[in-house]
Amino acid sequence: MTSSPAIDARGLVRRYADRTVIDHVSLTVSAGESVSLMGTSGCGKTTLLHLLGTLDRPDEGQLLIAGQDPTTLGERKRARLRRETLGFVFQQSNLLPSLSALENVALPAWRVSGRRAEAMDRAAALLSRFGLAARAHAKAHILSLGEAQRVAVARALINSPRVVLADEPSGSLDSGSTNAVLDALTEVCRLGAALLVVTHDPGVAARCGRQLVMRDGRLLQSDSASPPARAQA
Amino acid sequence: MNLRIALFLARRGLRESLFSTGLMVVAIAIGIGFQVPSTANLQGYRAELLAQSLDAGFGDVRVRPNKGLYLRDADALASRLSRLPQVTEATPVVGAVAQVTANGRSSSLTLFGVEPRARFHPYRVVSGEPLVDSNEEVLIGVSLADRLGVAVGDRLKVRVLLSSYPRLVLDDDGYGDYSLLVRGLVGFGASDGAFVARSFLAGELGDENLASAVLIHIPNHENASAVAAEVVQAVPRSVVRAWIDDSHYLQSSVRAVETLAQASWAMGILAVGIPVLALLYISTLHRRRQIGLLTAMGFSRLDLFATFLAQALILGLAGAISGGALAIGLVRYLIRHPVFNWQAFVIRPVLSVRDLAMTMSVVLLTAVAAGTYPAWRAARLDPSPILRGIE
Repeated sequence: MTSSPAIDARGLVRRYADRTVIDHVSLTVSAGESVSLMGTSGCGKTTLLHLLGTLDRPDEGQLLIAGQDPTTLGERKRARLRRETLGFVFQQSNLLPSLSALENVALPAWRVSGRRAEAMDRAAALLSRFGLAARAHAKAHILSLGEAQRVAVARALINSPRVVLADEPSGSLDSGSTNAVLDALTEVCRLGAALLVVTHDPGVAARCGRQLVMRDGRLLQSDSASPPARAQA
Repeated sequence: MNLRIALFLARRGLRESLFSTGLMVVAIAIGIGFQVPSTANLQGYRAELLAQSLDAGFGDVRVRPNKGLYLRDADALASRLSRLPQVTEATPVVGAVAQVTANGRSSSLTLFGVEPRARFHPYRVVSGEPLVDSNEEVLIGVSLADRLGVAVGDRLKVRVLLSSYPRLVLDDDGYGDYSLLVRGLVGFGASDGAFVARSFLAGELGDENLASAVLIHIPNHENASAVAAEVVQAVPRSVVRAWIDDSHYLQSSVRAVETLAQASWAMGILAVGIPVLALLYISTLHRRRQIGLLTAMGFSRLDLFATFLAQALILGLAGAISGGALAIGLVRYLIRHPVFNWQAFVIRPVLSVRDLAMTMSVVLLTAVAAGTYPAWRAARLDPSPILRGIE
């Protein structure tokens, strides 16, 4: 018996006014799999990521995230699905500026468990694993871009999500920082989560087990027959 | 929803922009700090107006004769009325038309005979000595003394119409002439009046038990109508009027002051509510990206609403405490340095702990209410366009 895919999207459509931004997209991502999504600006990559992350609702199609259909859930249950099942990494301004790196990482865990001290301990351990222990108490706005992105990855992982969605996670980083962030992201798959990375960078895409391309709201490569692929180390 | 997280995020959010946070706290503090002393001054004015007009005036309830100019056997009547519930004192006064002359100047007035030993008198002495049982001395109003050019220790010529009946005015015994020593000066409402001992004036009028009215004083001026109703039962053949029905000017003045106090209160609420609403709304717009991130982290609309409402609560508390301290300081200063002090009419702010606590609570609630709309907007923001940076 196999477990349900981490992401199972079928025929997703999203329209804004008279424009179809996502046009019948189907996508399946299994646990432990890493998938990159490339395409030109405005082709619908981020919109698809937001649909999969339940930050937006599709106009048509079916979507299952870790076996749950977010389109049938109320706002509070979708919020719960996001905090317990999903992790997000955005391109920039990922952190709450008034919080320290440690607090940024701990916040989602505190929200889930209700126990602050335990969340802080877990956050400290994660930061340590990503080589950021010395920067744990630095305010978010004084971290370098690379450090901030690694903190964001740590925050995305703190609740052991089944799906991590990353939108241009290395978009504004130098190569050294990009490698550090990608190392952190591939760690996600090693821990058993599905990873979907939106990127313009072929180098980043190459680090993923499967590469998809979008154009004008459609996935150019049919996805449904693709076998799950493990992330490359 | 976790309230501790909401408070934590609210505190951190406020620290993010200390300038706008400071502005909001100052707006609330100033709202309380100035509204409370302003209302306290109006309350003080109301209290002084009532005290001058009733305690140092013609009482809360006035009993006058139903027929003729005078009440007979007024001492017994006053004694009976003073035993009624709520009555602090019932004291007879007698009045007679008179002319006072000094330094070649004269003035016509009603000369009042009062009980020197009574607790309440229809005047306040501003200089000189209080009246004693004497047929040689008079208290006169400050304005009258000024017009006549007399001071304490000077003598006045007083001609009193002693007859109750105008046809007797020209009779030899229809009036009395007296030379009286000015024992003291009285102020404000009595500044054009003159007062002698009742025993003297009533005696000259032919009956020491005579009174034009019995003035009833009660501790709570608001109960005057109820006490008047009881007095009517006790003395059915007299004209009994509570000050509310007898002094329309005073009643209108008190109502005007109460209206001004309510308007001042409402202005204070608006002065707090509008800036807090505006600044919190601007803060919400400024922090849309953070709201999007919190939504992505799994914070629900209720979480976001609670976080932004907690900001308003913290601001309201900080502002209310600072404003309360400012208000107490200003009220203390105004007690020492009254805004109005003339002829024994002194406006000192009246502030009770209950009033202060109520104002602080209302302003705190106003701040929270003003924070509700921005909090609601924060909770309703669509995270997707915000996180894509297109909103």
